[in-house]
Amino acid sequence: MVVFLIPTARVGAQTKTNFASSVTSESMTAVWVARDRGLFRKHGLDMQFILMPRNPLAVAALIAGEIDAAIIGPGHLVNAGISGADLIGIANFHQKLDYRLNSRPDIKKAEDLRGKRVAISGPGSTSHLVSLLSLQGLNIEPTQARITFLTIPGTEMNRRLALETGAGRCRRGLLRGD
Amino acid sequence: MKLAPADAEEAYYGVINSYERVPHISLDGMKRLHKLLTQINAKVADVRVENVIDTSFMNRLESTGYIQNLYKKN
Repeated sequence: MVVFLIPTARVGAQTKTNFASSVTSESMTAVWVARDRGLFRKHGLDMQFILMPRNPLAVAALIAGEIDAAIIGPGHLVNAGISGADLIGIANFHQKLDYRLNSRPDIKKAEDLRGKRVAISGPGSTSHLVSLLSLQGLNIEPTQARITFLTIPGTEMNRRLALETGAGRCRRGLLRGD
Repeated sequence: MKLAPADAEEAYYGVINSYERVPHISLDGMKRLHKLLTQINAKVADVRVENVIDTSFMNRLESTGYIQNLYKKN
């Protein structure tokens, strides 16, 4: 979801602006293509991209006025609304969730998830929400099944690493686009 | 990382087909999300999703034919 605050300074014929995201998956492809093909510059934007380690930081930067726009999960936008933050979502590239629930090889069936830890990027994040939906689809109630959601800061690559190395005894990780 | 051409082609079309033709925000989708978020944090119940989205940008881009023209060009 594309979220923005307010436009920034204009320098010559180009409006200097910045854009942040912690997403590194293929869902950002349109933005990368636009940048690499000079489309922002073509339409008068001198755009700087900032890779944020986590989406809540992008939200904080938006609220502080340090960045002008960000691609964040819709959950972060709604959560920001709790504090009355003046942020608005204007576009959504994908209406379908393209996540997969990945596990270590010792997880053979849904029941094996009981008592395990699931890696997410943070409470209320898209990965957290998708985890809940996935477990719902598997007829597993997380609290009853004693499933713990483990925050692995950073991008989906960090969650993959945690899953592969067993860091924090992570047994399942929610990864995008796998 | 170098991909085999066939794999790159498959990935390309996978990405292309995953994008919405017009990237509208679905109010119904946001409301479903809101319901789920409320289970995580009860304070979310005080947030009205209508207040955190603005569909006018996409509506205008679509109604003026701007987006349609982009697809025609390509």
